[in-house]
Parts: sequence; structure tokens; C-alpha cells
Amino acid sequence: MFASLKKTKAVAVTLFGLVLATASAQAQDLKLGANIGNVPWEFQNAKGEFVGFEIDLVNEIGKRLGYKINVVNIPFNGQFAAVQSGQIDMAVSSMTITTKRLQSVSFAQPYYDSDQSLSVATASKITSVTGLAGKSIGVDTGSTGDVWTTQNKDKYKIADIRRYEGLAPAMMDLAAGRIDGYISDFPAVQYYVRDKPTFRVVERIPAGGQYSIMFARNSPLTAKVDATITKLKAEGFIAALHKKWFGVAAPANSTTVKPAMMPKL
Amino acid sequence: MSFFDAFLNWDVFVQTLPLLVSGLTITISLGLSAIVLGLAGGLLLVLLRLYGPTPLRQIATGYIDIFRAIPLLVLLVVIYYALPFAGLRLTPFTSATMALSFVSAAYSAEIFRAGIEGVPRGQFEAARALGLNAYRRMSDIILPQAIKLVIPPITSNSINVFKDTALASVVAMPDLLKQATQAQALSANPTPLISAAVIYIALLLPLVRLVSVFERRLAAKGR
Repeated sequence: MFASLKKTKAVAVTLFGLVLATASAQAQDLKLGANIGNVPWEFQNAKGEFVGFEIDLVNEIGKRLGYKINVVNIPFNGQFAAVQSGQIDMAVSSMTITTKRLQSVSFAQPYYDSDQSLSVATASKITSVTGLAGKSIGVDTGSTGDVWTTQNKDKYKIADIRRYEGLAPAMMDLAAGRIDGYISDFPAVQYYVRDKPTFRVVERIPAGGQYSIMFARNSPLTAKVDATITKLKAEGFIAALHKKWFGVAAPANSTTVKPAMMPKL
Repeated sequence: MSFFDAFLNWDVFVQTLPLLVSGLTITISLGLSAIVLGLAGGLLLVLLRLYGPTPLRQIATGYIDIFRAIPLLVLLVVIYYALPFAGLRLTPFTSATMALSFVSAAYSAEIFRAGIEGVPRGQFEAARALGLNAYRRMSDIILPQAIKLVIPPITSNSINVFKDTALASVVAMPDLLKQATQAQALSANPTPLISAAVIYIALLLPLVRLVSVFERRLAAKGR
């Protein structure tokens, strides 16, 4: 009787210890929402591991700050609600910093200067955005490309804008001929078409977008991550990531190399 | 940032409302065309299944089984993305209407069958005894009674079809849900999703109530 009671006590203490251990482990974990499939920023390799520029970056930031990073696959359009409801601590999806977004969320300093791009089927006669009159153009729902195309719809007499949930379905419709062009982030499309001769990127469109990590508005984590990014830029870590994932060195005056201000409203 | 600022943000709501309204018109036209085509298709299918010649009866049965088994989203993606490889390139609206009404027709057919089988045998015999031909027996005697029996489940099915129009956002249809996600990404604020939910509820709640009223009436008649 006593023996069994002792045993129960021991089990209870062990269990309690386990709970404590789990709780403290959880406190040291950060949940990163990543738009898996967004090459080369965050995607799954053949082994099923999450890899990419932003995955490498956030893992390194986590290591420096003493957090373990748990990646959660959340599509671009789900990330806004996810950071604000606290389901994830931060989000990456080659996310462009905009004034409008800053009213609802916070960003660390940018680490990539992006342009938009126009891609078409290789057989197409379109060679630049000036050839878009009367054409149907695909964009990613709510992306920087969406904003640019909507603003320039009248200027280039674009007939119709179709909105997709990411690069792959838009490219399928480009191949099927439902759209005549696709306007989206330059690095992602360039990476995507490099081994697909049916598509080509015909124009790089300067749109002034800068990418960063998104947090819930005024999350205390923002400043810590921002400071770490400054450190990583000084060490050349982020420039090395650029070389690793794009095969070329980042321009010397870009935010990939130079420290930047944490964006404020 | 408080719950209200994130999910019930008035400024974001006002700014994104025009976008949601443009999506709503597409959702309504898509929903209505799919419901009407689905009901018409369902009626045709059930008549073939119950009274058609053997090969047509087997085809109708096969169709009803297959289209009740296939997930709507899969069917939609196949119609939209795979058919172009077979040379058939449909617009997003046509693809979505087809996928929704194909599936709805299969379900409607089963509901109509339950209705027709719920009409007492005596009605069939009496209609035949009166010397009515097959067409008149159906149109004048059996179907009016059968349809009255199945109004509640048919309305429920129509509500489901209407809700399923949200799946059309995967084929670049600017429907209500699509416009809400777009508005949400532009403002980095999920308020438009909540607005869309409220709009769906406001549209469908009266219909849901109506089903209950119909059911109560039927019950009161002792069926």
C-alpha cells in the first residue's frame, strides 16, 4: 500500500517535471509561419525538409536569440490573421513592407530589395509591359504585383486582371493561354522559370518593394529580430545567403548588405 | 493590438466594402446559375434513373454515384486546369458553374428520387387507371406531390451549393471570398474575412429559417 503510494508520488513528480520541462521548452520555441512553395524563399526539398533563403535566415536569427524555430506551413493569405491572433510569432513569405500593412502589423528592417517582373509564354509576342493593351494579366491575390498592375491597368490598357493563389496555378493558366502575362516578384519567377523553357521573363519592373519578416503589431520580438538582422548584415551572413540561393552576389547598396531602419508608420 | 483592431476594424471595413460588394454580385450570379442548372439536371437524371431504358438508366445511376463521390474542389481543379490539355479552355465562371451544377445535379437526383418514391403507390395506379400517358402521369400527378415532399431537403441542398461557390476562388474567380482575401492581404488585416462571413450569414440565414418553416408545415400535414 505504502509502496504503491510512494510509486504514485514518484510518477506524479516525474510527470510534473515533464510538464515543467515541456512548458519551458515551449517558452523557448518560436512559431514561424512560412508560405511553403514560395521558391526560393521557403519550400520543401526532395527530402521533405523546409529550406530556402528566409528559412535559413530565421533559423540563424533563432539560434542567435536562443529560440528553437518551428516552421508552420501557412499560405500568404492566411498569415495576416495568423500573426494577429497569435497562432504564430512571425511570418515570412517574401512579404513586402507597405504603409497600409504597417497600420495592422509590424515588420523588422528589410533584407531584400525586390522588383516586379512580367513573364509570358515563350511563344508570345509580348516583349514588355507596353505590349499589354487588351491583354489578360495574372497576379497573386493582394500581392505587390497585384497593387502595381491595378494601379497601371489604365496606363497600359490591360483588359483584365486575374487573381491567383500563388505562382504555380498562375503559371498553369499562362501555359493554357487563359492569361497573356503574369506580373509577380522578380526573384521568385526568375527562380521558377530557370528550368522551364515554356516561359520567359521579358521585363524587370522597378516597383520599389522591400521584403521583411512580419510580426503582430508592436510585438516585442520585432526589435530583437531587427537588431539581430543588423548584426547578420555586418557579418555578411545575409549577403552569403543571397549568393547561396540566387547564385549571384547582392548589389553592394542593397538592403541585403546595408543595415536599414526598422519600418515605422 | 486588440481583437477589435485586428478583426473588427471599422476603417478597414469601410475601405474594403466596395471590393466585397463586387465579389458578392459574382457569388450571387454563380450561386443562382449553379442552383438552377443543378435542379434541372437532377430532375432529368432521376427520370432517366427511374424510368429510362436500361442503358440510360445505368448511365444515370453511374453518374449519380460518381458525382456524389468526387470532392467538388477536385472536380473544379480538373475542369479548369486539366481540360485545356484536352483542347477545351473554359472561363473561370463557366468552369465553376459546371463543377457546382454537375455535383448538385447528382444530389438533387437522389433527393427527387426519395420524393417520387414517397408518393403513395395508389397515386401511380390511379393515374394509370385514368388513362394518362407517361408524361402526363409524371407532370400532373406524381411530380407535383413529390416536389412538395422534398422542398426542405432541396432548399438545404441549394444552400450548400451557394456556400460551395466560395471554392471558385481557386480558379481566379473574383467571388466574395476571393475579394475578401485580396482586401485582407492589401491591408494586412483580417477584418474583410469577418465582413464576408457576416454577408454569407445575412444571405443564407433567411433560407435556413425557411427550411425549418417548410418542415414544420409538412409535419403538421401528418406526413
